[in-house]
Amino acid sequence: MALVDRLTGLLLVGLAVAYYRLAGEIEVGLASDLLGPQYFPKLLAVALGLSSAWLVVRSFRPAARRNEPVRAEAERLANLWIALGLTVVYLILLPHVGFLLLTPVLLGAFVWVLGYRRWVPLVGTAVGVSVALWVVFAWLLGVRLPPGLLDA
Amino acid sequence: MLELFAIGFAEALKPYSLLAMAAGVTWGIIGGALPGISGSIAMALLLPFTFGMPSSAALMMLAGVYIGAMYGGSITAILIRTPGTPGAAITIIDGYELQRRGEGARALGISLVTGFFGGVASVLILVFLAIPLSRVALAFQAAEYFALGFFGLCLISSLAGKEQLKGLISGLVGLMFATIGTDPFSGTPRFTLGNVNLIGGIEPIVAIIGLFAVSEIFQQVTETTAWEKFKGKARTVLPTWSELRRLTPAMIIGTIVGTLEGLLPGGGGSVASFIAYNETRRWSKHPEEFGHGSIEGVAAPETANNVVTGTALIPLLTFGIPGSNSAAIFLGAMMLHELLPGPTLFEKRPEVVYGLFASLLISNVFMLVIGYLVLKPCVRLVNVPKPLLLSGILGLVLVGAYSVTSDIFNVWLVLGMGLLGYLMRRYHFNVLAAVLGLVLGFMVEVNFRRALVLSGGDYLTFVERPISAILLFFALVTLLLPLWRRFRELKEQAGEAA
Repeated sequence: MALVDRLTGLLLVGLAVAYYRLAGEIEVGLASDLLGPQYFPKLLAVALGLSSAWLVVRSFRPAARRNEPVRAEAERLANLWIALGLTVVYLILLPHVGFLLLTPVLLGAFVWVLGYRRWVPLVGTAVGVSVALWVVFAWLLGVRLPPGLLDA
Repeated sequence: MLELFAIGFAEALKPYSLLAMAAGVTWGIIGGALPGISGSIAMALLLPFTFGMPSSAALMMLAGVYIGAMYGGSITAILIRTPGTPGAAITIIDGYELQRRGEGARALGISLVTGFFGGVASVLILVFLAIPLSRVALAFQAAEYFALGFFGLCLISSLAGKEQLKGLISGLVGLMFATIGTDPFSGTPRFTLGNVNLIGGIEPIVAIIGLFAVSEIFQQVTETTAWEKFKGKARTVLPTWSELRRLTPAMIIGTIVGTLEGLLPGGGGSVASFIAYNETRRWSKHPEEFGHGSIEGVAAPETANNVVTGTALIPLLTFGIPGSNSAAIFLGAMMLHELLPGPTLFEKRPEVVYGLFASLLISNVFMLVIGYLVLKPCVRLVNVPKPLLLSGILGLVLVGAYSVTSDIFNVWLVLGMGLLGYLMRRYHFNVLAAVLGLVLGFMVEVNFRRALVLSGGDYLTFVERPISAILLFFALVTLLLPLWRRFRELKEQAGEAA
């Protein structure tokens, strides 16, 4: 945890600096109040910078190493990255291919990645969920889901 | 006063409202029963549906979900020793013990009925406390609202997580998210990075769905352990009068604890049920039965977590400060419908506030009936393999985020927020503090600046106005208390070493 804290802290200090500089570029119009649009964000940036710097300092203290978390359960981090990757690809393709054609593919692949291999429930769920969502959102709630290739 | 309640009941008894409540309670019980979907996640998943609904019905439906989820969580706790919601974690101890003895049906009945009594008690407490408190808030001006928002953020950041420093950082990051969009005073865009989608700011409900629900999906896909399947018949047996008489002390303790925990920020149902269990064991005539299938051990936590459903709304409705995940989602839904919590809401939109009060009573009755009927379908759903369930939830969050503005941008945002929420939980940051920063950020900044406009730029206004001074003092105490404790620890260690 100490190393993670140190890296996160450094990252957040960087974020605070970048945010502060962006805040300085905000246009101050004439029709504003006393403090203007820059003041509050700059205050936040300073507070974040200081507390993140403290996080970095704290990570060097010997006590930081005592609280190492013990991970009892086996976890599959790979699953997370694959699921995330699948969704990213899905979102890139979605406007071109369309909701009804692409969503079953995403959901099916997602279920498969999680280690489920019984084909009938897998395909049934992927198609069933997609169609159900289409019916509820596009049909009942009137949301215009991307039609993609099905756009006639 | 009475006519306001009449308005409320008239609103809640509209067929549309009743349908919304019934749907909310049913989904709450089902979602609550599914491990991984807590009450707040069940509420977050339903947010996109509340868009097109009338505001009062939308809030009634969300309150129904909250109430239903508290019972739903105990179904899985009792039947398969897995808490469906964090609030039901402690119910496992005696609930599952009863189930092993073949008395699961009795445990479910007790959970259902004591939860109902807790829920009804909490509505009464809510009504008695919220109406006078909302009058206190009438005296509030910009300085007080700033101080209140600041105090609320300090409390959540300091108390709700494991590490105070990370809680503060989380709250600050949430506040930064809130600054994205058009500046309320000057009208200039801030931190939009030239992206037109960000001119209106980050939609709170997108952040909520991402940080609460999507992060949970990510959490679940990394866990390899599947939850247990329930084999056998699930039934509910309602408690007898003599049993209920025996359970009365447990229900009273549960009600007191639930009220206090609902009022305090950062607690919520899980802490309340835990404390109620311990206190009931301490005062019980049969403490030796606890852990071996005590019906009091089911009644106390299940009363307490249902009491929280009403009392957690008190700080939210009167002052606009949510103290738990579910209350934060409630605030998100109110913002979506442009309802500003506080005393003016009580005056200007009585059909919303009093309608909500009435609906809480009705939803508790619904919980009693629907909870009895929906048990079997619930168990069937819990037995559905986890990957299939997760894919359904994934589809729902993607479409839900898309439907907010019918734009793919929010789906990207929800995904990013989900990853952020996952990493925050993994490394002990405080997701609730971040959400609160985001939903309260606007109110905190606007009132800070407005107070200074009113005082002509004099910063002393925050300490010269008594209520504001007291709130800021408490905020300071909240921030410094852990530091002081740490200082004393170090001193003691030094003393021992010498």
